[in-house]
Amino acid sequence: MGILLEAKAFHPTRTARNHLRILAAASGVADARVDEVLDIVGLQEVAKKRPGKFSLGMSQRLGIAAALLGQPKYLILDEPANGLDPEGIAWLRQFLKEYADKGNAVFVSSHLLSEMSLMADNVIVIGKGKLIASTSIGDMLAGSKSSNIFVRTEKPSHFENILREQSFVYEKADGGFKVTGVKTDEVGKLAFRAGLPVLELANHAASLEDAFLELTEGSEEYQAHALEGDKK
Amino acid sequence: MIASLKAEFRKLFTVRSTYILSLLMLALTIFFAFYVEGIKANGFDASDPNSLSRDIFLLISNISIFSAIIAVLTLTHEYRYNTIMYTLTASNSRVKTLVAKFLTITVFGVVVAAVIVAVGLAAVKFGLHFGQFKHVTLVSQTLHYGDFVWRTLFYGWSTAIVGLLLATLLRNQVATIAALFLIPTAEQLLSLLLKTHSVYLPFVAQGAILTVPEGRLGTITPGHAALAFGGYLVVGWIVALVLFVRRDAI
Repeated sequence: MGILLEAKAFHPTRTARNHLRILAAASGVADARVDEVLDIVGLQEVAKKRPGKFSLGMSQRLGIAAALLGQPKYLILDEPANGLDPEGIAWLRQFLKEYADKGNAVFVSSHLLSEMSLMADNVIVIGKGKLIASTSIGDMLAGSKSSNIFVRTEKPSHFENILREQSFVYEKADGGFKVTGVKTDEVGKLAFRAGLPVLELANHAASLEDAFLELTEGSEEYQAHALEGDKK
Repeated sequence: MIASLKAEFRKLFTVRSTYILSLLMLALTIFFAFYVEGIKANGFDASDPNSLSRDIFLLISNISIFSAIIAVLTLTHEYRYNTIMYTLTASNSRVKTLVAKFLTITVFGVVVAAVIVAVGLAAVKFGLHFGQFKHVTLVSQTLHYGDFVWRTLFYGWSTAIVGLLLATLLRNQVATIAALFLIPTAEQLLSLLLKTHSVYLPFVAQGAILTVPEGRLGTITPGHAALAFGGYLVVGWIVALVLFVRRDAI
């Protein structure tokens, strides 16, 4: 099992390579692996530099290199994208996906939900120490109340009657309707059968953040409040 | 165990502080032995057969504090920079981890003491030759090798190991270094109250290892002093081991 809990967990004046050599020795890993992981995370050029002067992104890479030393079957990373530049984040995403594709399990703990929606296959949501959800990204988004179909037709009042007759859940918005719990096909066919030209039909998938906030509503440990001026 | 030992030696020899303090230790040894106890040896008694060994005892009792500081830094850096979590998770036994640290500092402390003694002896003799004793014939110096070797090496080792012990107990760099200097000072104050019994205080007993039997702490022999200090070390290390095994990493 390889773990990255804290990016800056190294002696600032011990070189990156020596830091990894110590970890390798303690775990019975051959020194040759040190150069391999430095190469994987792209730190080979600064292997003999002191990590005290590393940026947060470089420190993250060193931490990931440490986690990879033993070629672990299970990789646990805490906020691995912290401090990484866009290129670094893209590299991390690609690398973790490839690592998982090789039959390994990668656990990533993160608050960067947009990044997680791109990186993860499955999510586990924990609030106040309790398991709130354990599901695939797709199911989590589909189950969100924020997912809806936006439809705008001619004669909107007529189409509203049809929606009501069909017992669809909807709300008026931007000259059209946000319909939840249905697919675009159903709404489109409904308008077609009523002979109403459809002017706009779009699927608005919820973001992982929306879904997360719905799930954790009431489970936040610390809640911020809007400024006085923003409440008006 | 071998893996832990290898890692501990790498930790010790891959930080600047080990080299800086070792070089400082060597420079001070040469300076005090060659210049202060050699060339400018005002208090050197040419007719005393124990003068040379007394000089070396004085040297090692003052210089070996650096190996204690190196030992302190080796462990407290781990807590300061959170690398202790790697150390504690790499091995399946915390006992093995602590034993590896103990053995590493043991080897280091003994080697450093041996170097101080060897360099110190040579530098004092050299200094005396170039100083005011150039034309004075020294009486044959008495060096009971067995006695001399165990006392100097035990003192050097025990100083380094007590540094590691305090670091294991306190886990904080500043607090450990402060304790390393404050405890002997506090003992000196306590000595005023305890009078002759003060020889059984830890650091007073350790100091007595190097005082010749007919010295001012003549009520205790170097062997007894070593036993007394060794007793404190044993108790201290038992407590340290229990805490190291049971306490959270941070």
